[in-house]
Amino acid sequence: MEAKARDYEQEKEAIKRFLAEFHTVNDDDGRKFFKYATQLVNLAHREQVSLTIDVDDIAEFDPDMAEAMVQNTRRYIALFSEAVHEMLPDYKQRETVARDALDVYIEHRRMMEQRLRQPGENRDNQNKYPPELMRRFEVYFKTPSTQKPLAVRNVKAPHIGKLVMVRGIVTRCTEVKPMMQVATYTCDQCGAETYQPIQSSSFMPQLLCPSEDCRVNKSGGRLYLQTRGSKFVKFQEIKIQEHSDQVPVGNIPRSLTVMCRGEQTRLCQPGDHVAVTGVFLPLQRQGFRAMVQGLLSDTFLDAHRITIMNKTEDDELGAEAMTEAEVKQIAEEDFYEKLATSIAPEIYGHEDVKKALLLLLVGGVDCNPNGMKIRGSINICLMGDPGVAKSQLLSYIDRLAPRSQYTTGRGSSGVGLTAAVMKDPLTGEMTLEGGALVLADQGICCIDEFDKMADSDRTAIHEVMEQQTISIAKAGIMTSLNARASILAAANPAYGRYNPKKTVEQNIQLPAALLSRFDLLWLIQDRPDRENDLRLAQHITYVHQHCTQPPTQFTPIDMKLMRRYIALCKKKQPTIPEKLTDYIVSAYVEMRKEARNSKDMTFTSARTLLAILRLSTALARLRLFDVVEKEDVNEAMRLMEMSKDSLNHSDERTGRAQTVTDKIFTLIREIADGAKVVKLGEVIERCTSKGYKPDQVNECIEEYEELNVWMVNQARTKIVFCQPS
Amino acid sequence: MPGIDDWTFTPHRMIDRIFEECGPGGPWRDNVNEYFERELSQQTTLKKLPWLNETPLHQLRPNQLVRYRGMVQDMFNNEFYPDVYQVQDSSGKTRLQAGRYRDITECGVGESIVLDGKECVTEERLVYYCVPIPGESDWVKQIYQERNPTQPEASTSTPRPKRPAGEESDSGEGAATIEPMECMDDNASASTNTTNKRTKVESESPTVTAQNGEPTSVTTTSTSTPTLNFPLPGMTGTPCLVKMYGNQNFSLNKVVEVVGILSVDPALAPTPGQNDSQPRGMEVEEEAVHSPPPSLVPRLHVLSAHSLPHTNPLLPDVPPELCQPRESRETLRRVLNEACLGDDLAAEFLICNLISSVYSWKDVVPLGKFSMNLSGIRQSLQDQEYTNRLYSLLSRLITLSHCFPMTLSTMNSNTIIPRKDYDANRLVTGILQLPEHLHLVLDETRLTNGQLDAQGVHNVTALGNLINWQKVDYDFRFYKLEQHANVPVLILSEGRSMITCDLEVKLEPQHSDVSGAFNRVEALLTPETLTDIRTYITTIRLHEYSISQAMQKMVQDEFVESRKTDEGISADDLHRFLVLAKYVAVSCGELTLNADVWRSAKILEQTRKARLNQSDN
Repeated sequence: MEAKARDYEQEKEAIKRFLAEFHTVNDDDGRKFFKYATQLVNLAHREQVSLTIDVDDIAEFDPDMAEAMVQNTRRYIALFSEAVHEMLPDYKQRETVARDALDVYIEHRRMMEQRLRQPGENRDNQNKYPPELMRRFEVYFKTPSTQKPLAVRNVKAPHIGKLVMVRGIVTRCTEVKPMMQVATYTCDQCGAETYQPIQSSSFMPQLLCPSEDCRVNKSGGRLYLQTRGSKFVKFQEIKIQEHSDQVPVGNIPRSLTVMCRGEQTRLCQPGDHVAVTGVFLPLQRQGFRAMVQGLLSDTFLDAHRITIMNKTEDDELGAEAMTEAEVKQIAEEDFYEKLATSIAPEIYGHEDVKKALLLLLVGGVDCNPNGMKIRGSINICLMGDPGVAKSQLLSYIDRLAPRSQYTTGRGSSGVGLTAAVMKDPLTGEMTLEGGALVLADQGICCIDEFDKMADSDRTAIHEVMEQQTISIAKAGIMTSLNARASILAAANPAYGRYNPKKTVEQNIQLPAALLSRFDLLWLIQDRPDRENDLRLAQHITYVHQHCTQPPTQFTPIDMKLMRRYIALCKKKQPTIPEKLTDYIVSAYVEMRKEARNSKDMTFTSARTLLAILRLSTALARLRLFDVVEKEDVNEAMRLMEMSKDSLNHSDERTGRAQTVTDKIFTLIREIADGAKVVKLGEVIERCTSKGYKPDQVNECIEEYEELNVWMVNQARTKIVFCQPS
Repeated sequence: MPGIDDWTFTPHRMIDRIFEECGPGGPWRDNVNEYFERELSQQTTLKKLPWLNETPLHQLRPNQLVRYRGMVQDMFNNEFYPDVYQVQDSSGKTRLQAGRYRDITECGVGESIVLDGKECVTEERLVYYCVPIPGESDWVKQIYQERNPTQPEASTSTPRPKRPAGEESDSGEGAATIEPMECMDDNASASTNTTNKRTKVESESPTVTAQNGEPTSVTTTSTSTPTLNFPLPGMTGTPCLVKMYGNQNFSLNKVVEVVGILSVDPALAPTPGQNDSQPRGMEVEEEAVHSPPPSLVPRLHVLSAHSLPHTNPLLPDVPPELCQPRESRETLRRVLNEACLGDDLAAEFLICNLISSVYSWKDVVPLGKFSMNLSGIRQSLQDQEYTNRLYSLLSRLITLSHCFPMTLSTMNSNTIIPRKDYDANRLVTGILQLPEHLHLVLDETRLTNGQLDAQGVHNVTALGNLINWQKVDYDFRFYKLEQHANVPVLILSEGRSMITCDLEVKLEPQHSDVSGAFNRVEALLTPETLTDIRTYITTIRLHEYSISQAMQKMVQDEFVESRKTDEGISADDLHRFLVLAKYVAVSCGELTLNADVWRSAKILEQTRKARLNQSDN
């Protein structure tokens, strides 16, 4: 009990010295800056109300005292208040204008005192002005920077009376009410004023006048409470509850009552994430309850400082920047593979898909050249037969991303994907309620069953995916909402299984305009592959046997670490150097050429080029570099290539590749659409629009005529199918 | 044993004595713990302690030791209390008192309490709000009831036992007397749709509601349900505020058995009229919840507590090996076969469903879940109340069960997800707050055409999450908190259920005489078989199991082989196979997987799939 041994009178002197002398030396001009002295001047002029003492400063001045302040906060608050109170008159440099009625009262009282009392006269305690009445400032402490914020559940009995910092989310707030700090009474007989400082939440009013006159004369003067002469402070009670990440599995979040006074009121609202510094105190019960339930005591935190935190950025990530060791752990040789495999480790294989998802998490760089907006967020669409873990991948990304929305295309609520105009049931006002895409702004929107999307959403999603906004024109509300979200979609093939002979649009039944907005389209297929299958089987049997990962396999990177690393990556803004432009352009031209010549089911367009740029910047970010390198572009193109491969060569066993003739035949069948007769002109027109030459078409027509599939009439205007197709 | 009575009725005296012996600075806390641990580890002592669940409060003495079993429904904030406090009498003399295991200070007339004395110690204790175990079957309650020691020395003048006095004679011997009870059960269920006549007489046991899940019968108890926060509709019993000392803690929804000091002092009740002198606005609303009248919610100061691996009263905590698992399995199979109207496949899968339990969590994937959809319950069967009868049969075999009728109104109107009420500062329960191993039966045959509103969609999603991920996202308004569950689910539906399950079994009834089938079931269920089956299900669920290296190799090879063909099995299928094989093996009493079991599991699965495909075409 070191604190007890300290001499408080000496401490007060030390505090005075500290307040007057503490200063920091300004680096620029070498002048001293008196941190607290200047504030004292402000306090004296009633230009500042609260004085926050940083315990760090005290630690510089007197480490022991700093320790004592944290351990025995209440006492030191009183000491500081007394010290400040005694020092203030000296700091007053000019007369101040009275701000409110209480100032006038105080001034008046001070004059009365000077006029009536002789200095040195021993005065009756009750009639003396209590210092609380005369003070118009509040003293608060700020915890030393070494002290870590606690979770509510870690605030325990040993913390009683100490200064603690607690993190949490505000769940309830009362209204701000006045709380009496000093009650002032006047006597109906002698007119003397009596003061009663109030420390707790309730008090027993005084009834009989204790003044000299009344006592001597036994006149039995009654006291009446004077509201105007009493001093009130603003008072608010808030409740904070633990963050979800502070709650151990299988527990209920705990809550804590925080009492805010004076300047600490009205600082937060329900739903805010806050860090509260305060003194943890037991609440003394009064009256009857104290007797019957004497053994129970409620506790509360007397707030000294409330800071609102932004959960996603400062609190979770910024506050605990990655340590050297952690960066080292990640930034190994194969960090790219390692990070990718750590995504959904329970799903086997699909390394390239996971790499793509990793890039989606990191995101490319936004550019705004000349007002044109080119998005940096990467959109990915996963397709595949049912039961290939598409949804698992989505839900993993949803959990991993700091900001994300998971929804299905079918949209469970009325709000859907975009936004809805709702009528407030109470006020009747029209309000705008954001859908999943709006809520996922600056994050990731995972949309499962993308193919089953409602038509209204489908039109809106075009805009979201390129312009990154949502325009609303509903019920008189016209606005544009930001929806800078990466879209991760999962779609099921239209015919149950993916048919590699058909194009992507036919398989997913989504328009090409929408599909081309995805930077990467992956077809995830459950293809037999002896080695992979064996590994998968071993994994599953092992898991069922031992309930853990097989030991030889690598341990996935912790989700929290991943999150922080990705946040770190996002801070980088890599650029593409001049010398790489030629390389990228030529590569793109090559891709276009190849696409035209080969049997391609996908599209290669200008959007592909943008996608490559996005992917390469994301890769540079991942390496924490500021410049995109050639390898990044190569890897981006490889991913692009792989995603195309997954669509094109999805099933090698389907026999020979389609020839041009086959394709034209399919096209003609499509044009016919069940009808027996097709106009030749139309066929030629449609085929040329698809990029086939007329002689190729004629060749096809002849070939199938020989096979007796159809007949061409004499005038060569119509094709008649021999058998109903 | 008069010695036992001594301290079980006045445990405080014991604590005070140890406190005085050791002195306030001494190791009295450890000594108290040690003493009670030692005493309460003896089965004979434990048996003498009454169950708070089964004994009405007026038959118990305040501050006596009682046993209680319940589920942790909510966790309140820690309570700070003076572990040691000073009492000052009128002459100014002070003495020290122990405040542990007490709610009320002990001070006489003219004495006052000093809380800030030098030797005072403030400590904290955990406060759990426990409710009686949700979904506890009637037979479990009955057995506990019978084993509950009668309280001859109760303070009230008429120590009326809960059961009519006449029956006391034929069931006086505790455990050995299950049989006459079961006979009663059989007759009752044969005649009146399993509504046990005697339970109707007894007000304590949850009666009709739990059995046929009709929302109509909820109304009878609805007045007490909201305040007591019982997860399932129609539950009755005594909730309890359990105060835990030391470092022991439990997680939410755990089923626990505690021995503690009963504290029912009326002074603990909130005092109306005091509210206006309470300037703290928030406290008033919370008061009603956090300090309810002790007559309704008694307090228990825990001396010893442990979580229960199962709640089957027929077995000790660690069940012994079964001597004849195969015979018991055969009995159970015969019963279920009849209940499935002669469908053998459905019966086999039902056995697996009944003994299933999540045995481990791999990241987010629960291993061992075996949710099952019994489809194909046609309208003609439903006209004969098939699902009700099936459920009431199941509830007689397993310890914990609940039937949730999925009607439009129940889906739309109820919030089934527990959510935090910040005004009262408590977790408002929903029917998805379930203890481990509770068998949830969803009756989808009751669903009619109509519109699900936003709440209904939410509920369906929550049910889907529970079934597929074995987790429930509790609603804390500002965020969601994921709680793991371990709840086997059985969905009864006409077509395929709207919620996807691990597997769907299409019922192929051999006949449609429902009442005939269930009459035959009754004939099979002699008291001995019932005991046998009940013991069997619980024991098998806790059975150890492993897969040998050789078998792992075989399974892996088979998987790789099968992938080469077109009809290859996917990873999900393999998971399912392994789980199914586990339950097939375990249900036969096997400790490891062997080739026979693997083969029969595969045959089961193939037959099931073939049946589904056949009905699709």
